[in-house]
Amino acid sequence: MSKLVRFMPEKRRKKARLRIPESHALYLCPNACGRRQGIRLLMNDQADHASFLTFSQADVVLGDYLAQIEDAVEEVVTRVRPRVLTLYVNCIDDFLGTDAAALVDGLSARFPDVRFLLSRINPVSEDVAAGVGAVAGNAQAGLYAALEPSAVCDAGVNAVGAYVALPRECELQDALSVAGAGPLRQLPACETFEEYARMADSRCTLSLSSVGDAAAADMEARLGMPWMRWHACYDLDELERRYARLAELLGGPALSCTAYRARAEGAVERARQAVGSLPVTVDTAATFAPFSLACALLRYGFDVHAVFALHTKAGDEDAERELVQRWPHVRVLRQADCRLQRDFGIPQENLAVGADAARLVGSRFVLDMYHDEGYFGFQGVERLMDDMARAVRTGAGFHEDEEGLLQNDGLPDDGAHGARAGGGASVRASTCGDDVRVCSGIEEACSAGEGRPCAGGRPDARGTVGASGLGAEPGCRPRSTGARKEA
Amino acid sequence: MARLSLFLPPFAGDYSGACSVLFGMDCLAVIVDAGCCTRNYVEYDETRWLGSGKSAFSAQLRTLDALLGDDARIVEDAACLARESGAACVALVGTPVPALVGMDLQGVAAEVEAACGVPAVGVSTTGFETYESGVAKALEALLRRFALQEGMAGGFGDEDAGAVANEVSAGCLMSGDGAAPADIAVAPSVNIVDASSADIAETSSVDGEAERLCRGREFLPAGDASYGCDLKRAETPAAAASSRLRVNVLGATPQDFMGAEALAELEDGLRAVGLDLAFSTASSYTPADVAAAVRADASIVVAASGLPAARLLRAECGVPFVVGRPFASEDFERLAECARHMDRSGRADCARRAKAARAAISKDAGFAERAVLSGEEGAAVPAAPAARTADSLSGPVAQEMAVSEGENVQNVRKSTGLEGDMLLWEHRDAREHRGAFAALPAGDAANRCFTMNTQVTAEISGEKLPVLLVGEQVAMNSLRPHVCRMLQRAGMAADVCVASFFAWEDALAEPGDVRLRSEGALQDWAREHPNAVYAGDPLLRRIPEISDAPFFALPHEAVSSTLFESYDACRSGARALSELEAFFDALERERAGQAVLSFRGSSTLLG
Repeated sequence: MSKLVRFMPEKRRKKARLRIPESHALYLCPNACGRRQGIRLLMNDQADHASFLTFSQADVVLGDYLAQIEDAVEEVVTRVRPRVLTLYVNCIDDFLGTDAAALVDGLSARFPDVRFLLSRINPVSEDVAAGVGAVAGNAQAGLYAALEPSAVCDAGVNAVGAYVALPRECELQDALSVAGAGPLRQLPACETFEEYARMADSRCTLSLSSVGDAAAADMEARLGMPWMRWHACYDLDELERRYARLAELLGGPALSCTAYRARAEGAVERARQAVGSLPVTVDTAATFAPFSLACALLRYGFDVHAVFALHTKAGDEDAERELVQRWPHVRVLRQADCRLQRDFGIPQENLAVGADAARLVGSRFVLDMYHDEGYFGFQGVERLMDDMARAVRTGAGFHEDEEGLLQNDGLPDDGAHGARAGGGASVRASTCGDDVRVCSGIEEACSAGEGRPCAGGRPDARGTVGASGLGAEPGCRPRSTGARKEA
Repeated sequence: MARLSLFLPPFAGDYSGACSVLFGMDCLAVIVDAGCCTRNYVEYDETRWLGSGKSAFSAQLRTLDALLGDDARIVEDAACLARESGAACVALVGTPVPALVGMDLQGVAAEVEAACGVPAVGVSTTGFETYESGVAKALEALLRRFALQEGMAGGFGDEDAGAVANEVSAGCLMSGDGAAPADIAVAPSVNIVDASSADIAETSSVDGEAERLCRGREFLPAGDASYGCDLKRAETPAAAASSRLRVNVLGATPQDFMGAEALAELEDGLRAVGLDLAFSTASSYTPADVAAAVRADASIVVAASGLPAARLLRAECGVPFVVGRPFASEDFERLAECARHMDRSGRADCARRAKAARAAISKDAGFAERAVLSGEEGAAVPAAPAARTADSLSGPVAQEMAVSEGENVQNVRKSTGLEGDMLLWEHRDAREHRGAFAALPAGDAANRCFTMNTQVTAEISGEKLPVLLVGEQVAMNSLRPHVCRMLQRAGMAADVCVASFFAWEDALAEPGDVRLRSEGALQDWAREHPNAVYAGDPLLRRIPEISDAPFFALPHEAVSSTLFESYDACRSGARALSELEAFFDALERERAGQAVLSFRGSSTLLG
């Protein structure tokens, strides 16, 4: 089967980019490789936190780039004085064999006040990295590599694997309170380096997506912090089970889910009435767990016609099997099916959950949900249902923009869909359908712009399920030795 | 030499430029990358997706593919998809990893073509260069595949002809760092030649060569006339004289012309002044259009990225070229006048010189290895053998060229009535200009074509306001005379210079112009000229030394992608001139104390 992947533009979407507060990024790459990062940083108003050292081919071939890195670092450190300077290298470094550890050690000795990290944006290595999404996962792990072992173990809980903070209104906060835990610590919500550093004090970690698993595993290995996988979930029964397991992990009482579940079920009923028999499609732009979402929707009584699994992530395999066995009529479309424009046999009079499916099918109703951002727990189900109902109710007036892209008309003024805290989706109908956008599975590594640490603390990416994953022993974790260094 | 950017993003990459050239054709563009490179192009460097149904594909290159040199999967995938899609062409576009491991993309393309029967080209972009390098490479690949490939062998009539053709072409290409190629002595920016009876005879031979080119197109699908040249339509000089001029438009990409609308404006403007378009990448085109490039009466180079292709067409087929980016309607008129003048006589002259150059080269038993600088000066990477370019020739050939160029300038001034007015751009100061010429090596006649119309700024006296136009060199050169006139009307004495981060032709530069190798160079210039006024991409204002300076925003996609897309819509073509005039009027009022302008502060985007 051909592996060629078709790309279509999505530049209107302001994708969030994670960074350690008070850190600076120095991209070490050929000119073209830094282009996306540079423009995205400008879009996100983060351009002051990054610089670029672009090499010529001669620099690379002759090995001059190493000396040039040192000069560039000196200039950046002098000008910016960051707490952390992350050096990002890309695919070509896999072939150059740069002694990254020596580079970082040398820079650390020369600039002792700065913590140096080296991360890789190297989707080319996806075939030799361990597991689906390992490259992206390692990229996330690199963000937490600056956390030092702490003598403190408080009741905090980390959440990793998401590019935006969880919505404040979600019941997770209540669950932590009931269990005597908290605060919830998330990198997207950290405003200072100190806040970030306190993530090392937390009791445990929740991994919110497959790309967070490597980070959670790394923190377990280095900081002795148990973790629990909490990937996207829209199934009410499963949510209840997860809250029970979370309580075990935290060693406190479990959240009573009755009220939250009742609200979610009410929203499901309203959405089912609004959507009626309208066909529904789900895609991997909307969620990291498209098969789980499709199964949940089918159980709720929605008429799911297709899952556009264009760039699947690890962790959704069980749901895929369930979908194929229980609902074999649901079409599963992959990259190879969607490379060329064609009739998918799905009526345009449908509700597309996700922009990819909307473009492919030309869906009349679109819920532009992106990577589960803004949807968590019972609140997430309730919100999803309300948004689906709204998408159908407010069907008119949505359109492609002048470039054939879906316009985010339904977004608040900040327009930063997917980038604002809590994420969220826009709801609209579309008249489009002639475009196909197929992303590769390595998008996260690239879009996040973060990579894995080069030396020391390199996570074991094979363990997509951590040693203390769902079955972790409840209660406070054993502490690592050694005090946290002052950054 | 590596380039550190603290304030500006990396510029549009060479593979983006290549893909933008291919965009207009029904071409299956496969970027040989792991994924990110394709995203760079698709999301940030292409603006024409509306209703196009176009796309670019990533080959999803992986470590083992690269390390083991396993091209088979890419060949199979591309061939399979080419068959499925019914594309007219397949293009394999290079990125850093293929460049690093030495992947032979032309060879892979040949395998793809053999596997699926669809014409295929390999574009050896590297990702280390900026867009104009990729534009040049893609244009060359297309021309060689659809216009020159088969024809050259018959054209030269010896068994080494193909190799000779390649050598000549390689010499025409810009070096990787954008340095002026060595053939600049025979490549005046405005290629205007005189006609003589001898040239007419050469013209006939040129047409004969074009005919051979067409006949050589045996690679074309049987029965598909649309791919080939229509021999019946081949024009005789007499026929050409009575018909509309047919020109190639080279260098028109969204990196320099933001969006389909600006590109359409360019084509419409050229048509409106009586030009027909033979081959233009500004809109849709077919392999047949590419093939027709060799029969065009002239090429119009609207950006420096089109210069290498123009040189190639001139060297191989005698198609003369003129350089300039039209902003106002009068610019279109002047371009057309120049092109008409060149037409047949120019073609003949170029053909004669091309033939002479090829003859001289073919007599040389061995071709010296040429180091192609892929980055900065002094860092050489061995590259494929390249031609000894025309300027390395000596003796009668070189003299002939020099004389020809010198005469051409005089002739065009007489025949077009353009004397005293700008041709495409002009010098700031006649005295400076003459001084500059005194320092030029004898026989550098190519530069003489710039001696026209310098009186605009020459009349200005007193302390001069430094004005720096930062952008693509041809565009800024073409904008310069407009700016000079505006300043004159505003009563301001100014020293208007051009600066560019991109492809740079020394021969097109005027004294004081600056090739910017990094943003640091621009900072240095700004420190030396603390009162300067700037026009350029809005992101330049992120540079502290410029942030508070009077600044006229001219968004350049190759710098800021589409961040200022809506802004750009009102600043293209003639609209840019009216806005610019208002800017200078306001500036002069401020200088005269009649108004207070604030150039401080910046938008959120500018941080």
